[in-house]
Amino acid sequence: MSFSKNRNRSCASWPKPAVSQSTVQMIQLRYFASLRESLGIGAEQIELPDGVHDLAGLTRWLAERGEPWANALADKRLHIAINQEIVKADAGVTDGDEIAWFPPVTGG
Amino acid sequence: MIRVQTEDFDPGRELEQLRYRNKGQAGAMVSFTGLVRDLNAGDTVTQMTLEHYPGMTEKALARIELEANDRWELTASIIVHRVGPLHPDDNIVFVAAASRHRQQAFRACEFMIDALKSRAPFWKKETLPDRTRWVEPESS
Repeated sequence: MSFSKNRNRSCASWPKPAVSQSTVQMIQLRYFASLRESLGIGAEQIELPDGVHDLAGLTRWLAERGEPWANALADKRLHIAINQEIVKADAGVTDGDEIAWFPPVTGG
Repeated sequence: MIRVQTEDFDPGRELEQLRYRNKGQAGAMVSFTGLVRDLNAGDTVTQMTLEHYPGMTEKALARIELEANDRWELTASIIVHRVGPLHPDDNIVFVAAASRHRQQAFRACEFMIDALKSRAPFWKKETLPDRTRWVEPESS
């Protein structure tokens, strides 16, 4: 089950903008635990990069930032969640998504 | 019922509340309380810090509790997990299940703590006398 915060929102009552313009598509990225420390950042909001439609593309785009991104995100043990649901590595990414990377969990 | 909190909890009080929620229908209550150990992998642990993913953690716990209630006939259940800095002998987690019969309560309680350990987004970081380290997951 996955959902997007924006997908179900009714736009019927919203006033139309006077001038038609392409809206900026934003996604929220989150990093936890040892990954957060490796990257030195816990969360960021970015524009959905042109041509990025899935996790593979997004991860490639982030890796192109160089280190520590390329190395940290190459860790095969990382889990990825979109909108707080665990997803597979080939999941799609769309406007408004919250995407989180984190190492295996150790609660309890 | 699920709760994620920084403050301590009282396992005895949690059980009393679970007992009250049964409305007299339960014949058994089984609980698990997880504590901070003072030793891990041969090293002295002075502090344990629990990080979590606010929002997703609550969803994961609620789903685990729902699955337990689908699989076993429970009269009441609860999962409580602490986050933030903890110290040896502190409570970390409390899981309890009540049912008409003990087998259902035992199995549901074990399922919930096992599922929590493998699925709920919590991460433990240990403070040792000379350094810190992230706890590695138990081999599954």
